[in-house]
Amino acid sequence: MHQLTLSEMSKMLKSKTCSSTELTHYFLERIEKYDKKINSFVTVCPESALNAAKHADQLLSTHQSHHPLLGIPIAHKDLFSTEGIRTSSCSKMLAEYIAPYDATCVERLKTAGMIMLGKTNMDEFAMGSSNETSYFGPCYNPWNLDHVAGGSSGGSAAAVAAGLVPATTGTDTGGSIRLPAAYCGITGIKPSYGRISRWGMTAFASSLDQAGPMARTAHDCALLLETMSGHDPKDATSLNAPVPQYSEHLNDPINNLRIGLPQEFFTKDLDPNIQDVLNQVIEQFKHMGMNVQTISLPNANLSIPIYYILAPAEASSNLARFDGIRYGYQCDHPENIEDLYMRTRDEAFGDEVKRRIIVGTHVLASGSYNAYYQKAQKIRALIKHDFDRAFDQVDLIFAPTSPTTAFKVGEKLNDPVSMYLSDIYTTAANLASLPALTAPAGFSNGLPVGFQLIAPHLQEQLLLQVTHQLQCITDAHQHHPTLSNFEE
Amino acid sequence: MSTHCNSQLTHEHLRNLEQLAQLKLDENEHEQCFKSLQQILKMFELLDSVDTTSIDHLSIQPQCSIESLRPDTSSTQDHTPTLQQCCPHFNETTQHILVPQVIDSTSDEG
Repeated sequence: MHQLTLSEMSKMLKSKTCSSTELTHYFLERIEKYDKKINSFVTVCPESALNAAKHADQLLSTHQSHHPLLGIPIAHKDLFSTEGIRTSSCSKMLAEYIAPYDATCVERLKTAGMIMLGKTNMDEFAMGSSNETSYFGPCYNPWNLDHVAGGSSGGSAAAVAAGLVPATTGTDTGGSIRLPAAYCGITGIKPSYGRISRWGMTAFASSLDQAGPMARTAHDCALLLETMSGHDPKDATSLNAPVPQYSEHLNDPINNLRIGLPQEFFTKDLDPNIQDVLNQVIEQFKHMGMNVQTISLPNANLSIPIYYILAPAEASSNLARFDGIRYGYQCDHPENIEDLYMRTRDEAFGDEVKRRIIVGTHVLASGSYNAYYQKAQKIRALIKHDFDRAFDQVDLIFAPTSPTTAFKVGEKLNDPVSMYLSDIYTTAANLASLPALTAPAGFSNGLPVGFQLIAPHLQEQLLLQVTHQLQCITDAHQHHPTLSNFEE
Repeated sequence: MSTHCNSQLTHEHLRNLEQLAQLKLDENEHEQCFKSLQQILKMFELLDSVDTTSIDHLSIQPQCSIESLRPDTSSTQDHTPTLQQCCPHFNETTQHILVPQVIDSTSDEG
């Protein structure tokens, strides 16, 4: 059952081949059996999940709801507020924080009838590319436990890849949906900035953060995206734009679409084995009738330094709220208010979070502001302009998701710049607020390889259409890791 | 202004940043942070070669004149109805959000 897509599960539920309660039991048992080795879940909610499944079964039996996601399990990245359930952002700072409300996208999926199984592992406060900085321990790649799941939505990616849950939510500030999705061999989409409400999402970098779905296929992501998306008056940055029925238009014609390959992304820095796998996808696109051409994004090589100026700057402001007063961790026996602030934050934040706060503080300090933050904002506009010019020539941009497959656990922990370079192909889409998707392309040395597509603003439909039609004629997305050695 | 002069990080400057960021790093943490910060700031030197004085060629124009912007005054709108709608545990009398008890007594810490 864990190999079924969301639509296949929905058909089984509606035809009463199985019930939501049976489906929920099935996945809860898989989590119990396999997740000790993977560590993709940090909180599991069996009682509330089974109560919700029972309610879903009542709705299914009386045909009171026809939503395609009714009765299907899901798990949420642990920075989405979930009412009455711990929401920790995988930090000691919030390890005992119980959210008093649901995030908007959680509420929308709950209203659709999805069954929340629990909360997934992530890099602390979404700061990381490997899911090794979590307070609850690293998340491991189900394809090879010696390798990372990717980050920061590593738990969400690993849980879907291992068949512990059919769909999850993630967030993407500089690649945190796309990178773990590529490393774990699943499909994930970061929509246009503002497409999904950020109300109830613990903020990392407010001008870059965006929620998105992660699942096995583009069709599944389409079902989730159309449910999660839409204007929210509680989020001033959410777009007041209509939400298309993405799942209804997946088979619309795509021949004669123009696909651009940025020359700056296909260089010697890209692993040749990954290049070979991606070349096969490019050939498939040509076979499907699309036109492939080379383009240029001249300022793309500046994405990493720009991102690591702007994101930490915003993070240093967003994380100022964690002061040991209103919520979260508080140090013992503070001598005075200053000692309370400083020791609370030092004891409860991990090394990477502290590093980024310090970088952010530096680039915003007077004397540094013009050289760093202001300049980075200007270059951000140049990067956006590069994409605008590129989309005059092409309809979609094709790129690698990552320069390598999933690296080994511990390999980059002591070298932050090397870790940051994992995001070399993903940060540009966040800086330009554009939608981007990753999907499985194949394998290299037993580990998944992902490809990335970037679309113009609010053209998520194109990403999903092309990927869905590719997945109809290929099988890279249909492979599953062997979990036989994972039981304890 | 160049990033190069700013990438000459000193221990005193890092201690000032720690103070500003309200973080109390011990000696070992300070040393580790110093080394990694040096590498990160070196990465930013790439920006020095980028000409952003040509930003005007993007022809970005404001959508309205300064005079037609609304005054910078706070809204008089009462936000209580919105809070009541989105936060079931919002107490209208105290204007606080009550933290509910954990709703799943069997929730398992993974």
